[in-house]
Amino acid sequence: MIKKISGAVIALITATMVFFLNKPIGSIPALGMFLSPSHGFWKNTAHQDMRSATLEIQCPQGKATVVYDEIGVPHIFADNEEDLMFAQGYVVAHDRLWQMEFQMHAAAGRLTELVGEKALNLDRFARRIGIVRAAENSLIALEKDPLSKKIVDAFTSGVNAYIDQLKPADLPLEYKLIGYQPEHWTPLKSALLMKYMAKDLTYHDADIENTNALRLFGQENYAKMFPDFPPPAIDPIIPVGTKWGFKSVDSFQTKKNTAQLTAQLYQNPMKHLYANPHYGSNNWAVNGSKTKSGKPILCGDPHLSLNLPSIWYEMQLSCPGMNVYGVTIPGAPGIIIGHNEHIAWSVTNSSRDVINNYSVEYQDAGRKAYKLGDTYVPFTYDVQTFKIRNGKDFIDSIRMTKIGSIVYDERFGETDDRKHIATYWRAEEPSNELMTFYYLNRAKNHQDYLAALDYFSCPGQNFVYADAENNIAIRQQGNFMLRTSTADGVFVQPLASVDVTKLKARIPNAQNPYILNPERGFCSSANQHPTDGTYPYAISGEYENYRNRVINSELTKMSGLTWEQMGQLQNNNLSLLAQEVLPSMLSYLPETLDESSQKLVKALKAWNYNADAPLEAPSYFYIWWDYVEKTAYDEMDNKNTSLRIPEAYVTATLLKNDPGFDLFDIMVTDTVETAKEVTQAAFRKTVAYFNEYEAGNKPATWQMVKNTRLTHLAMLDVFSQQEVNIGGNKNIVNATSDKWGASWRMIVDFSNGKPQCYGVYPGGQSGHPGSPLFTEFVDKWAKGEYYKLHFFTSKEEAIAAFKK
Amino acid sequence: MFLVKLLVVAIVALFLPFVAPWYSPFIACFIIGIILSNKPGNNFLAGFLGVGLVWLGYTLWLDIRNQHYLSSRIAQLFSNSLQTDISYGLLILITFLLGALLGGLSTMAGAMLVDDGSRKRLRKAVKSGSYRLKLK
Repeated sequence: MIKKISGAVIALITATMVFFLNKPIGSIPALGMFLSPSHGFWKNTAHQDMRSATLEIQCPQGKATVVYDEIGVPHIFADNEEDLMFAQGYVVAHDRLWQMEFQMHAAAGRLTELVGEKALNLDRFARRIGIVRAAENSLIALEKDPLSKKIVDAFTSGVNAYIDQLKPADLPLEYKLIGYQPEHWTPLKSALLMKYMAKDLTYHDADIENTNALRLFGQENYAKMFPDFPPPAIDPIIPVGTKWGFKSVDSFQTKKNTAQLTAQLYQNPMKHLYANPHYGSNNWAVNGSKTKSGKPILCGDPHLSLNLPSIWYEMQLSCPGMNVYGVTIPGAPGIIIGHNEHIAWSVTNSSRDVINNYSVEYQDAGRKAYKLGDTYVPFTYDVQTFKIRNGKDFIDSIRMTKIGSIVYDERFGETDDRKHIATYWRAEEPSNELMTFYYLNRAKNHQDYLAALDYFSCPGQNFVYADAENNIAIRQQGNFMLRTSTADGVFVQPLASVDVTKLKARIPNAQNPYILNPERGFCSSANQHPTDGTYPYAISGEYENYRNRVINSELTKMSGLTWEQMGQLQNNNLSLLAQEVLPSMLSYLPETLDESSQKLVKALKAWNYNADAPLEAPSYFYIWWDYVEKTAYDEMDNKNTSLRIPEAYVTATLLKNDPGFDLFDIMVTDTVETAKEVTQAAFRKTVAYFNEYEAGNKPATWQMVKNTRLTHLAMLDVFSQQEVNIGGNKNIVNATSDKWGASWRMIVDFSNGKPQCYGVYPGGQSGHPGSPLFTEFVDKWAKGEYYKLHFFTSKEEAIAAFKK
Repeated sequence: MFLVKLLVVAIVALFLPFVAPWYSPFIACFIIGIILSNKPGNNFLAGFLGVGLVWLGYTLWLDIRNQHYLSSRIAQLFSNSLQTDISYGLLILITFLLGALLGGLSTMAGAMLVDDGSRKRLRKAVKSGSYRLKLK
């Protein structure tokens, strides 16, 4: 009897142990499940490596064949486009399911469902600025067109077919770690991902900061800090002097903007959640006059936040009528950047301003209606529910005006009614960007390319183009607002004064900046001004002034080009900023310096201005430059008033040519400082910084000081990579800084009949941290090397190449 | 008898999780314990080694093929959150002990719950087909 009782007790204890081992506790996963070899993380080492494997996928109409090559790139062959899209969904989910869902959660403001309350502000911001509304509008446009509906539905079914066959034991590692299950995919989720990209590429608006700067520093200083065209010269995408051949269609021009400014100084409490305006990209195409083969070469390297799994997934998609190779964003059907047999294309961000902010005038303290024109209009409400893991639901009620939502109000970051702002974001207009990629993937010539681009609204992109017939072109494409002046939409203006029809009016696609086969033999873009001042429309944005000049001067100089030289240009580490400003900075230093200062000066004087990873001089320069900006713009360090510092190019020019500029004066001192004192003070801080740094026994090489890192999307350090051995920085062609850089480097060479493609990205095809493929490309990427990519003309050719 | 029992436990521990949750072998062990023996110590050892060795072998097979790539990162993850030094070797040991301990205890509990006489009757009844096992 005692034996029976103790048996029962032991059984109970064991069952209790199992029960608790099957439950996640806090951030610790369900340990029994997690450690068991059959269901736990051990299992995530087994099935993920698809290198040189072949897969048959049962699609709605027939079978698709997937041939994975030696670096895990799938080449998919199907008999029709629906099956192809189905197979694409299946294959992408196989390698990247967790990433797709996690990014979708971020886009939809649903991270609280996974990580709890700590993500609430992030989620509220995502929903308040309108990523979800934008995606819903986009979905309506997408489903209205039977073709895009067919494509995205097939893709969705493919993703869900993969999810449905997934056993709990085979869930991607992050699901097991965080403790949740994948949901079914929907077309809305694909739309959400596209709008998340739009947020990343356009939500760097500075209306609030500009308004504050104008009020605090005055018109003259403002014009110096944020000039429309910074002196001495710009190097735009469309070469200076190009004739336009059309006039503005702006029928609103008579209504000149009276630049009615609001009387407030504003806060931007969630500025850290804005996109970074320094996200940029390079692309260029050279025609036969510049190349050894007499055929064009097209290059593209989009710069984005560096994460693992990588933002891009590489694949070949082939069916009757289409054969395309390139990269896609996991979760979007088709290829975003790539080439087919006839053409190649790549994109950079237009950096155009597509956000307007308006100060709200409430009817009364009840905040139920706002002034528009001469009347008061009642708000509508976008009521959003946030499910919080281990917590109660949170409900946010967002005030909606006719032009968009109020992001900051008394419920979110701004208690002062007079500072509530309504935001108009172009990404909320209905659009169907997926069709651009649908038609580009099938394009045969530059007319097809132009027609495909017409579908693209937001984010505005520079689409560079080359084809096998030796044509090259570039067009800045987007649904851009008509602006009455370069000051229109750059400051916070009264909502009451908005003309809604004018706000929604657009520049016709045919009048977007565009050039075909320019005389100089190349087209290029690097987030600089699209045009010079002769373009018939006013344009505002935040523009690059270094990468573009390096690329254009190199391409102008070069001839007899090969793909290898193009690769060297993509990896060019020349810091034009340093080349132009460092001699002046050094000249401002006093004659006599102590020993540790001399060491830095010696290294800087001997430097060739290349920001290479093993050098120390770039570390000294960039730390010094950071301190120059911080010291010069000490006025910007203001807790209650958001401000932004000018572009490096503007500061460098002021430092050299306008040393008495007002803002160089340091506020806390009684004396008047100029560029010289600012530079000296910054240098003293730099010397102190490196004295302390070297006490830590780490070499002061650029690799270590810059610390380029690839961060796991869920911030899991053990799956991230630190101190990647790569040079470059922002404002350098190799734009790899600490957390962003070339997210995909591609070179398409049309030299012999069919295009040869070379590419690499910082990551790997597999999104599974247990797979050696997870980070396989990183070393090659850091070294500036490329893979020769396989572009198969038939299924048989692919199978023959990778038969195990 | 011990070897038979160990073998049965091992086979169950290996194959059952392909179709059932990770803890399914322990429920099976409990039932095996009821049916196959009455010596708690003997049973414990059979369950301990039966599940333990399968978990150890399976783990090693997966981990060595993966060249400890993932396990060393998971070990680092645990080290970071527990502020101690955990290696992949320790993870393998913990995995082995976890499977072995739960296997041993559940097999033993099964044996202890049923006394000798009732077990004999049960075996007889199962053999003759007059009794159907109701498993829950």
